[in-house]
This record gives sequence, C-alpha cells and structure tokens, in this order.
Amino acid sequence: MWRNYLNIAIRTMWKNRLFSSINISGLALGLAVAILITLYIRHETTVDQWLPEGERTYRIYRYWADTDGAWAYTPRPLSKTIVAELPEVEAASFLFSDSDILFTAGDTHHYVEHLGYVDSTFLEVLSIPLLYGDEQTALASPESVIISENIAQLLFGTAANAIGASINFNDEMQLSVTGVYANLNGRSHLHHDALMRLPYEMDGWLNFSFETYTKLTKASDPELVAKKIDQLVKPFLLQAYNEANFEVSEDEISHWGLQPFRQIYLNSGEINAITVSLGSARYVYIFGFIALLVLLIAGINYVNLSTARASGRVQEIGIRKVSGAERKHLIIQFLAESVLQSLLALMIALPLVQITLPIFSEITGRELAFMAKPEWPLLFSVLGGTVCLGLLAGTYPALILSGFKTSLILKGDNKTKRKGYNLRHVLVTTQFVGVVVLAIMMGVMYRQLNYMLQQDLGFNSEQIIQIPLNYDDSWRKLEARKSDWLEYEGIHSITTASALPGDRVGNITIEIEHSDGQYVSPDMINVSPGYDEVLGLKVLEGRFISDEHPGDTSLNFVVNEAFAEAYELKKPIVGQRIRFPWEENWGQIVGVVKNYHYSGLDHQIRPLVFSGRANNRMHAAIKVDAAHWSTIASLITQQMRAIEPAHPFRHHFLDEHFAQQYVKYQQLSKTLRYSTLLTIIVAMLGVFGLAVFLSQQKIKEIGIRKVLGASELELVFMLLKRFILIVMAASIIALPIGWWLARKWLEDFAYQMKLDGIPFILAVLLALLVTSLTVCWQAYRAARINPVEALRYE
Amino acid sequence: MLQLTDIERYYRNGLRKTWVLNRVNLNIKEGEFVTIMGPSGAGKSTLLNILGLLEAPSGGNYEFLGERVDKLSEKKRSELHKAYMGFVFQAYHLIDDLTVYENIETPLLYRGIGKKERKSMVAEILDRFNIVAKQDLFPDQLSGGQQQLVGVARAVISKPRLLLADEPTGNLHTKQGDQIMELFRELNKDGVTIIQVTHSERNAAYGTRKIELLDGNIQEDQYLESASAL
Ligand SMILES: Nc1ncnc2c1ncn2[C@@H]1O[C@H](COP(=O)(O)OP(=O)(O)OP(=O)(O)O)[C@@H](O)[C@H]1O
Ligand SMILES: [Mg+2]
Repeated sequence: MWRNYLNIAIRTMWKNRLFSSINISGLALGLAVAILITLYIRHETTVDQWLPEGERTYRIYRYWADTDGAWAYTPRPLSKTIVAELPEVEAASFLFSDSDILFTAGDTHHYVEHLGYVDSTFLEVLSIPLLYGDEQTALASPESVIISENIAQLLFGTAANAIGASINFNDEMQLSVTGVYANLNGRSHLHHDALMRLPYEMDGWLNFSFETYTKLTKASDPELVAKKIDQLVKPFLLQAYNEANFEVSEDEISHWGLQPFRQIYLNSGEINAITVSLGSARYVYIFGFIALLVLLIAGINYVNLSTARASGRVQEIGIRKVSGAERKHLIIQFLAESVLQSLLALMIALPLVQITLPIFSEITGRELAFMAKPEWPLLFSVLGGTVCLGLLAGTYPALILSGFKTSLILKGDNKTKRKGYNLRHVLVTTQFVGVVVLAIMMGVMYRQLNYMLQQDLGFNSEQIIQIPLNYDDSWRKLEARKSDWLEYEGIHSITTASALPGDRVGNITIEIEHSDGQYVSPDMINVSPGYDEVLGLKVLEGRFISDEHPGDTSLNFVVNEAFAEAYELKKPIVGQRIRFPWEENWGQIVGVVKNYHYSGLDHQIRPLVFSGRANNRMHAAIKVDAAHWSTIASLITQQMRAIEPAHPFRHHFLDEHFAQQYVKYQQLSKTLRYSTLLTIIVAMLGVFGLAVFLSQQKIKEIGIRKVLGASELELVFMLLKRFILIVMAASIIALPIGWWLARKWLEDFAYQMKLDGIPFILAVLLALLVTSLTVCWQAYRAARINPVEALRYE
Repeated sequence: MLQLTDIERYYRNGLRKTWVLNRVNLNIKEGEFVTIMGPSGAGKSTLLNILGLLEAPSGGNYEFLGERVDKLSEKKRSELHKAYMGFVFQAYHLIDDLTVYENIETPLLYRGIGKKERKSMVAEILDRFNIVAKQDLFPDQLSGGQQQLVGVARAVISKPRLLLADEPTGNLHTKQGDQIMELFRELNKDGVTIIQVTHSERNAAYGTRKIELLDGNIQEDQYLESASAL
C-alpha cells in the first residue's frame, strides 16, 4: 500500500514538474532560512547556559527606586562582605575588566583585548571548566593567570604547552600560567581572554568599577538575599560617604538586586554593565518570527498551488473514487505527496545551509556551527519539523481534493474549480502582509543606521589617529614631546585623554556650589589641552582647558551644554564653581562646549565635565593631514618605541573606531536584509506559480477577449490586476503593523530619525514591483497566445 | 468587401505538408449573407479564421476593404477586429465569471466607449434580443439557446460590418437555431455582412449565397434566389 502511495506521489510530482519544482524550491528556501535562523537562536539561547550550577549563580546590580534602569557596577569589598555575613551566599567574587594589555611570552607579543582581574575564589563562583590545570588551585597565587585556548595557542603554539609557562604582563610583572579554558567568546557574555589576580589596590566602597557574581546555596531565595544585602551594605556605604566628605542621606543609597546568570546575555537591556552583552531577547523573537514567517509563506505556496491545481485532478479523483477509494485513502495519498515534497526540499535545504553558513555567521557576527559533529537531536528535530511542515501544508489541499463529490465530478461540474478560490486570496494576502512588513522593517533599520552614520556628531572624526597607551605614565612622556611632534609637517594637533569618542566614559560625583550640597554624577573625561582642537569641538562660552592658565590643568573644569541644562545652571555659566565632594577647593567652570555625541547615537548626550588634572589618560589622539600619513606613521612608531619600549606600536582611525559601536545594529540590519530578500524570493515563487496557473486557467477567457478586441497590454493588465489588488490590500493591513514595529524598534535609540512615509512607500512599491515583474512575464506569454489555439474545442 | 486570391493553408507534419486550404479564391461583397458548408475536416473553420484574421494564411493574398491584410502585425489586426468584425462561436465562449450584462459590455470596454454610452448600447441590445430579464445572470445559469443569444448580442454590440459565425447553432435545437438565424437575417437586412459555417441546409437557406468546401477546395458557389424561401 505504502509503495503504491509513494509511486503515485512520485508520478504526480513528475507529471506536474513545473509546479512541483516551484513547491519544492520554495519549501527548500524556506527550510534553509528557518534552519539558519534556528541555529542563530540556538546559539543565542545557549550562551552562558553551560556554566555548572548557573541556575543559582547571579550578577549583582544596583538600582534606585525612583530612577529607571540598573547598574551592574559594584565595589570590590561587596563580595567579601556578603560571603562572610550571609549564610545564603555560598561564594561571591568580583571581576574587574581591563582591555588592550600586552602579554609577552619569549619573543611573542600579544595585546589581550579583554582581560579580567579577579580574586582567588573566582572559579568557585563561576566554575569555568579548565582544559588544563586544576580549578581548585589555579588562582591561588597572586602571580597566576588562566588564559583562553586562543591566547595559549597564540603565545605558546598549543594549549598544553602553556601550563607552567610564564607571561610578562604589560612589562610590569611575571605571571605563571596555571590554567587554560575553552574560548569564552561567543559562548558567554563574558569575553575575557585571560583572568588573573587583581594587581592593584582598589579597595574602596565607593569605587563602583567591579562586577560582582555570587553563587547562592541551594533553595535560597534571591529576592530575600537582595534585601539582606541592602541592609548589610548600607552602613558600610554610609560610613564611606561620610569619610569621603559626602553628605548622603539614607534614602539616597542604592538598592541591590540579583540578576540570574543565565539571563544576563539575552535580558540585560535595562541593566548597564561593564561587559556589554551582545545578545538581545527581542532580536531572538524577531528572528524566530521571521523563521516562522518564511516557513508559513513556503507552506502557503504549497497550499495555494495544490488547491489551485485541484481542478486538474478532479478526473483522477473521480476515477479513484469510483474504483472504490475511500476518503481516507485519498487523504493519505495527498499527504504522502506533500510530505514527500517537503522531504525532497529538506534534501536541498541541508546542503544549502552548509554552503551559506559561513556567510550567515559573518553577517550575524556569531560563530555558528551545523553538524560539525553529528548532532542527532538537532537532525531529528529538523526532520520532524519538515515532516510537520509537509503535513500542515498538505492537510487543507488533501481535505479539499478528497472531498469532491463523485457525482459532481462525473457531470463535469464547474464549481469544483472555484473551491479554495477565496482562501487562496486570503493566504496570498497574508504572504504579502508578511513581505511588506519585513520590507518596511528593513527600510526603517537601514535608514536609522544611515541616519546615525551620517549624523553631525558635533565633532570631527576624520583624519584622527588614535593611539592606545599602555602605561599609567605614558601620557606624560607623550605630552613632554608634544611640542616636538607639532613641528612635523602634517600634524595639526595632539591630545591625551581618558576617553575618545566611542570609548567608555566613566562618571563621577560632583558638587555644585550654592546647590545645598546636592551631588550630581556627570560623565567625566580627563583631557590635556588640545582635545577640543583635535576633535574640532565648538566652545560656546569661555575657553577650553588651556596651557596658558595654570588653574586649568588642576582645579578648573569645562562642561558641555547638557551639564548646564541638566543641573539648571544660571547664565553666565563660566565662572560658577564645582568641586569633587572629597576635596576642599572649588574649581571654576572656565568654558562650555557645544554638545557632541561622544558615545554614539544610541545613547543620549549626558552631562559631561572635562578636567585637565593629571589623572589616568590611556589614549592619545593626533589630528593629521592624510597626505603626510606615511611619514608621520614612521615618526610616531619610532617615538612610541621610546615611550613604551616593550609595546609594539598600534593605532586606529578614530572614525572606524567610533563606527564599531554600531556593529550590533549593522549585523542586525544585514541579517534582516538578507532574511527579507529570501522571504520575498520564496513568496515570489508562489506568486509565479499562481500566475502560471491562473494564465492556464484563463487561457480560454484570454482567447475570447482577444477576439473581442483586447490588446496584449490590456490582457497583461487583466492578469496582473488581481495580484496588484492583493498587494494593495495586504499593504493596507501591513502598514499599521509595520509602523507599530518600527516605532517600537526605534525606541532603542536615543536619537531617532524622523519616521516618515518613505520606508513605507518604498516597501509597497517594492512589493508591487517584484510582483509585477514576476507576473508580467507569465502574463505576457499568456496574452500572446493565438486565440484560435485557445478556443479550439475540446 | 473582401477578396481572397490563391489562399493556401497547410500544416507541416514532420517533412510532409498537409494542405487544409488549397488555392482558394473568393470575393464577398458588402451586404452578403454567405454560408460555408462541407464535410467535417474540409477546412471550413480554417477558412473562417483566416477571413476573421484569427489565423494567417500560409500563402496567397487577402484584401479586406481594399487593403492587403494577410501579413499584418498583431496591433493592426486587433484594430481591424475592433473596427469591423464580430464573432459568434459554436461553444458560445462566454466568460464564466461575468454576468450577461458584463459579457455584452466587454467589447465596448476594449473600444474605449464611455460609461454612459455603454449603458445605453447594452440596454438597447438586451431589449432587442429580449434578454433584459437575464442581464444579471451568469452564463452557467442560462440555457444553450440563451447563451448563444448573448453570444450574438456580444458580437454585434459594437456594430461590426462583418459578422463571422462558426456553427453558431451547432449546439442548439432546431427551434433555438431558427431564432438565431432570424436574428442573423435581420442583422443582414440592416447591412451587416455575415459569413457563417454550418452543417444545416435549413440554416443555409437563410443566407444569400452558399459555398461548398471539400478538401480545401471550393466545390460549389451559388447565389440563392430568395433569402426568405422558408
Ligand atoms: N494545428 C493543426 N495541426 C495539424 N492539422 C490541423 C491543425 N488544425 C487543424 N488541422 C486540420 O485541418 C483540417 C481542417 O480543419 P477545420 O477545423 O478547418 O475543419 P472543419 O471543416 O471546420 O471541420 P468541422 O466541421 O469538424 O469543424 C482538419 O483535417 C484538421 O485535422
Ligand atoms: Mg469546424
């Protein structure tokens, strides 16, 4: 029996080669897209899930009852204190993140991009499995370091060689490798290439530069623990504020919360953190939705073409029925056909996935793997999903086809032809709603990104060379040579600073004079004179930090417009006084700069102060003339060797560096663009099939109309008209949906483009255009038919 | 009105050619009512299609209203159709999805006639053919004779000077057939040139001229004495 079904299924497919291949290629594309997106979602949802005992591991954050958002910035003593005082806390440890640190092993240098400073108990809290080394003792010694497999290979050739080897840390101290772990990048929201003991004294309660992770004992309630931390920590903080000369009342102290470790990667939208998570639950939903949509569209193609062709099979069905086939036999037969087609589609989809995976990985910025090793569960679920798709797509046509009444069939009844006619329209409309919505989203994202990239940022990022510095005192040495460097042709200006646009900016507590001891916490950048010149900042009032005024490099400040606005400073702003609360002397505001987007357009411009004090400055920036760049490059290379002998010279172009922060959105936009194009292709396959079918069905009508005087153009339009109407109807439904989604998505950005009609109009035009192109060719062929052929009597 | 000179039509079957029409010469004047008869496969429909510019002859010369028309572009042919010709088919060939009214209206749409005028023209013809009551029905709700009435109405609504009909009564009872023939005679009296193909002598008697076709040759061509003999 089954053989019989299969035989018939194959033969029917072969007989209708054109429609079968449309069906199969649509399903194959749909499946391929869905599998790729599934891999992406699987990747996103497995990040961090592998951590042993992750279900009772948490990251601690602070929040204020009266402000939105939360901060995963904590002080170092927090972990020690809660372990000692709270029985529910099994272990707790801090993590301090540093970047761009030079590791040297023998002659091999490598700048470690992400380095973590921890204490000896770190692996007790986050039990990252070691490939080599012993978790218990790996971090016991202050000179120990554990490194990722990647770094081990870079420095020592193989991971096994690394154990026991020594590494020179930033030309400051010797470390001994005590462990190697599998690369975290992509597997965890933590991306640290190496973890070592904190080499600095940073013990204050007010230094919120640490992440704190904790593991609770089994069955303890995290909310309760958070409350206990509130109580426990308050006195320490109050005392610390007191000692630092801050007047802080009890209700101004933050609360504490515990974020489940396994949710960090995808659900950190509201939490500001040191290690920014690339993942986002919302995007997982968006892509899940696209995967379902493209499968839906492929399934709809199948339903449409099968029911459309039903009339062609009426005779076959009638004869089968007369020869004794029951309805269920027919249903099974039609389902066998649809499942067979979807399985064939899968056989095309799998290699397609293999081929496109590297491209897709690159577009999404994720390292995705498919069947790198045999993955039976995945394979089975893909197979199961495919069979389900086949069954779902096949059910409706099977019910329709098997339900024809024999008597009607044998009378040659006309109405069987119209079966499924309305449903077909509804389904095609649904497809187009999906297509138009996706196209709108694609347009909106594209435009928002362009808007961000082309925005006047308020500073100049072109022809600026950025040099990361590696020693605390490098900037002084560099500043000492500044006047020499400025002599060179092509160097316009030089500065050293704690942050350049695109870098993370710290915030600081500031007291404003005559404000009743009110503290504010603006962003702060330590700069040397010339910062404004290099970046082309506009000074609106007063002056920028300047060499000519000795006070500028010690006590004085420059603020941005947002500072004056947010803290309601009265004009004139220059001359008003602010200070660090823990210091006696007031400093003067000597200048106001025009607002500029120092952290990109997805962030609001915050109040900002510049200080010229001799604080840490780990960046230098030089405004150069591109024409002289090669001579300047060799000069700087040579000079930097004198300043930092142990460090190979590195530089970036500021504009490229700044654009880095849009990478996440660019990846998303690209991924969406390709998904949309593929979805449109799948939908158009279906439209093409319907157009072929329709022109076959209408062949007689076309002949008649031709004889009655219709021109080819009029006939093409007649066939095209109904598709155009469908696209229009779908657009009417899609526009509000698209508008709503676009609004929601744009909420992520502090600076949004104006949402005008253009992406909407373009999306509709795109749908109309591709539909017309798809249909026209077929319609034109049909319209050219010789009417005598069309009308020849059967 | 039209002049066929040495018209040929053959089909290529592999290397062999089969002639369907063999050097046909025919002259039809304005106002004639011509009946083409002959056994099945004689080439009647082929001839009619050539006359109606639905098919191009393989050779020969066709002049319509003094103009060579045997090798015309699609566009030019369509213009001649619109300007001068109407067609009636054995299988009626009404458009299933359109009502009677809409079917009749269709040729006017392609001739760019305004809405108001269309309305009055359709109303007039519905009235004349006595099918006003049926105007909102679909073709499959009509009897064969009624469908053919609609078919004729549609063919003549654009006031063609030449009406071509291929076995217009082939699917009808004698009585229904007579009704159509009466209509044809009336139209002919109004000045419409008619060329019809039929197997029925009874129908042929309505015409003014009878042509017998056999194996692609005109066997007999006679003018009938009295069109109203019956
Ligand atoms: N496309 C074609 N290829 C080959 N031969 C054809 C083709 N079309 C028609 N013929 C042949 O041309 C001949 C004439 O056909 P035609 O339809 O003109 O006959 P007819 O006189 O109208 O016959 P009937 O009375 O049955 O309608 C027939 O023998 C037919 O087989
Ligand atoms: Mg015939």
